[in-house]
Amino acid sequence: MNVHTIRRRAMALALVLVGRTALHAQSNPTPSAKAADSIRVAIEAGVDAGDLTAIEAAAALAERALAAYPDDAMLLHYRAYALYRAGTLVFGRDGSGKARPYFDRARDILEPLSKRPTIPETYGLLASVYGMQIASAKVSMLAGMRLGPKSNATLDRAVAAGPNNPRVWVMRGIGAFNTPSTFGGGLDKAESYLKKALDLAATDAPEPPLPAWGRADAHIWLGRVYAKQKHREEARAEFEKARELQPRNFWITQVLLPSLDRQP
Amino acid sequence: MTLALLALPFALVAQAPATISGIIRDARENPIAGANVFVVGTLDGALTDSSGRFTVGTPRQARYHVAVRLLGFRDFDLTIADSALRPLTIVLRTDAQSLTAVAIQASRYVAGDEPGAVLTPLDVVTTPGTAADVNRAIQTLPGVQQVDEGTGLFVRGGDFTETRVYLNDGLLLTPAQVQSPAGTFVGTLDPFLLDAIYFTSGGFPAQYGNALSAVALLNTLGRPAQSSGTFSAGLAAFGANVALAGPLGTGLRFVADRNDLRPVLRLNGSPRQFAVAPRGADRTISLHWNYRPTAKLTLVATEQLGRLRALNETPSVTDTFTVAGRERAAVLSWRDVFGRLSPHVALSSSAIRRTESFGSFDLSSPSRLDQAACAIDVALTDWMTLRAGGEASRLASRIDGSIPSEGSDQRSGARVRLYEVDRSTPSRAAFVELETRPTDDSRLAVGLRRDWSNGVATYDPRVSASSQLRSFGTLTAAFGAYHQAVDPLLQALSDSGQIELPSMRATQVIVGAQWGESTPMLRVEVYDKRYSDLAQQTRDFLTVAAGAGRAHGVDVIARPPPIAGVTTRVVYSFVHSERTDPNSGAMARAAFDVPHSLTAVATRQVLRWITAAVSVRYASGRPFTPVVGATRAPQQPTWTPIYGAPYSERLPAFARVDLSASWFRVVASGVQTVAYVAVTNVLDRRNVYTRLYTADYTSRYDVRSIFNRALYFGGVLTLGGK
Repeated sequence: MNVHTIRRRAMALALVLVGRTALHAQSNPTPSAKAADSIRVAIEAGVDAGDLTAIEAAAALAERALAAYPDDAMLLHYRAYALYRAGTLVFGRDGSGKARPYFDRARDILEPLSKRPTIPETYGLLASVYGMQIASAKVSMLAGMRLGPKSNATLDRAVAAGPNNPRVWVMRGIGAFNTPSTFGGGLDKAESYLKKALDLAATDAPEPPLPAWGRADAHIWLGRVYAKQKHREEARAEFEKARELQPRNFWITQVLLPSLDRQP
Repeated sequence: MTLALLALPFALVAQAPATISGIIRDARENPIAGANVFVVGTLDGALTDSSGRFTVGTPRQARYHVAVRLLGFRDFDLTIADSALRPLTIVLRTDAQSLTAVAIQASRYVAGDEPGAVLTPLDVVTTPGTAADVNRAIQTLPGVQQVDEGTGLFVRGGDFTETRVYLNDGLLLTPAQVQSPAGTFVGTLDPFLLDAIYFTSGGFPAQYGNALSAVALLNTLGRPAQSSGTFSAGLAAFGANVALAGPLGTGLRFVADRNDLRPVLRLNGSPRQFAVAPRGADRTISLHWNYRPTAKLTLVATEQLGRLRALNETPSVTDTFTVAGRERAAVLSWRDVFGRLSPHVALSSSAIRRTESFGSFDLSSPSRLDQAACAIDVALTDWMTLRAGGEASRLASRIDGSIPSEGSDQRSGARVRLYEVDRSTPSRAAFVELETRPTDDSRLAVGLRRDWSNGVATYDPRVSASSQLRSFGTLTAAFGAYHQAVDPLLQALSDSGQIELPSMRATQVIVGAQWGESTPMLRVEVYDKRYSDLAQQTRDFLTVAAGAGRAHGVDVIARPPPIAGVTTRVVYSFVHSERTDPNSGAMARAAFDVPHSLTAVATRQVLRWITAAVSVRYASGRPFTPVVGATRAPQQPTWTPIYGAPYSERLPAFARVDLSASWFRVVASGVQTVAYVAVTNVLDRRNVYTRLYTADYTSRYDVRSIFNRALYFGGVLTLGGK
């Protein structure tokens, strides 16, 4: 037995134990799938708390697992997802210059991954990464001309791959929310996409390590749509529903709900 | 840590866990925070803190494979025995993928998406005044002289035929022209088909030969990921661009354009009288098959048609100058990666059929170049790559027609020389090049090229080096010898008749420095070129060989920090170029010695969806040989000029300001539009194309450039993804 085989076996054993929570949900999960699910949980916890360090730690964890399973699609997806989440946090705190490398790296991972058989969320994530690259570009209009069509096409691909996937519709809703109606987006479209996401989320039960987020996000973004339309009570109701699902979510409790209270 | 403990084999549980700790620094000994340090094969790891320190607990093993990963730095791996565990000090080196000395090479400029590119693909089509022409975009790069408003690439004091253009590594023809010495005015490849342009204004590697000055590599877009269609219409052109993504890694792109300057001339007027305004068409198709992730098989075929008829004057005759041309090229290229081997093959065929007539000048000069080229990269180690390859080509050309015996008498019916020459010139070449990274921050490439042409072998050594210095920037240097076979047309016009003229030769020495990476950035290069065995054309359309020459100068490109949202790039080139004057045999200024060339482009986003840009171009006047008198023998219908010192006077300086604005809008998902408007030569400056004399040479007058102030507008509709 060579050193490489020993390492792989040790890794497998480690991942079996790391992913023990996932064992209950999946009959015969692979070690890499268990690691992926652990990373998923770590990312969601970091996002929930608005904790950049925790998200970066989750990204590092994915990198460690990828050292043993370099081609694993789920691990690659979650590494990119962690980078995307970290990038969006950095973008809000420190501006586009520091956030750009996160999105560039996420794109480097996702573009080759999207050419292989993968989950619909990967396409949706890539579309979102393109969107953030546009937002964080030095000249966003030029980036928009270059990446906008790619983002749209990738999102269409996500919908085609997962027409009943609530996360795809959440991402579509977020895209429409951030795009003016003159550019093909708008609040009305965002509202309809997010409501569809909520309908789909009611029966959504993905098995680990598949992404399981979406329901709280749909309420959050639907609340943002209402807030922007000055429908404060509807917005509050959506934010409260999101808080019921994620009581410690930093964004809901510390940003969105207080901002609603400050609204004239 | 707990998770790692749970992972321990039972046999090891009784032992205390191992602790791996240390500090991580960069090459300048600064601590690195946020690096991912871990034991490969486990999930045990840690991120370094702000002082670069880390501590990792892991089950005890005989040996540990410790890995360090951080974006922007090279991967670090270390295997350490349990018995040798001690606090580690690890130095991370900058990643080869980031912009270092490896990416910055002497005289190499990239227009593309990659790090270090000085132009983006959008810059190529949005720079005001470039008319979305690839050659005109390259003209805005350092080292290219603005000799006139043609599309010829005059690089660092060289003639435009000294620059070779490759399409997907297939060589395109750049034939000499008797009547249009600055190259055609319009018509190169559609820039929307291009993925990147690699332009090397000197010091290019051994892979490329038969060029004295520069090479431009045009790489087309790869297989489309999504099907899409783009339709464009402007005042003088309309076209369509279709991309289809097929199954099993296949894909297709097709582009067709038609252009006709008549509406532009009608709207804006013209200082020239055109019987047939410049017009043309082009169509290009590319077929792709990426049959596995690392493989690319691409076929590109393109055809361009163009013609014009314009009233032209010389002291001896006023007549309609007619030119018509058809250019075709097809390139089949294959590239793949097999472990440490990366082979590449390109089969290309390029053909040009051109007819020119004016007075007694009536010439047809079709030519065709077939070439097979192959190369292989062998990654000997992580820091050393061997590249070797060869090429075989055959240039078939025909010179058919009449050329005036004397340039001063071009009347219909004047004495002419008749040509009916068929030439077939086979040539072969082989090269080898070793590229190494002696240190993490430096690059050295040493190559040798051997060419066989007309039974004669030439040897060209090439060396290129770059090194990134701490807190200073990157230094670059290159040296090389370059040979170029004499163009068949010039060969046919030579006095030596069937005796083959030897290949022309040049040596180049280049030294440069760059500060900064993308913005802000400043890059300066100085160079010296020596020429020998030059074949040049006299004003009587004869070729004189054994010319010598020298050019030296400095090129500067600067990208200052944006001010008030305005991004700027400034390119300045100084050159002094002199050559043997083919008419007098004396050393004099070269015909394209343009000492100062300046291009400044400023771009700003206005509101959210409009981008406005302005470009300013200035160039010293082109030199010319003045006529100081004229004689006429009895019974002679035309005067014979007496010339002064060769190239002792200059045309007025060239200057132009161009404006453009584009408005981008997404109409619906997958549907976007771009509308644009451009004003060329805003100040309506009367730039001079050439200076002519009256029939008796007693007075002279300027012929104005056709590019007066002109308004141009159009739009683009895109359906689907890229």
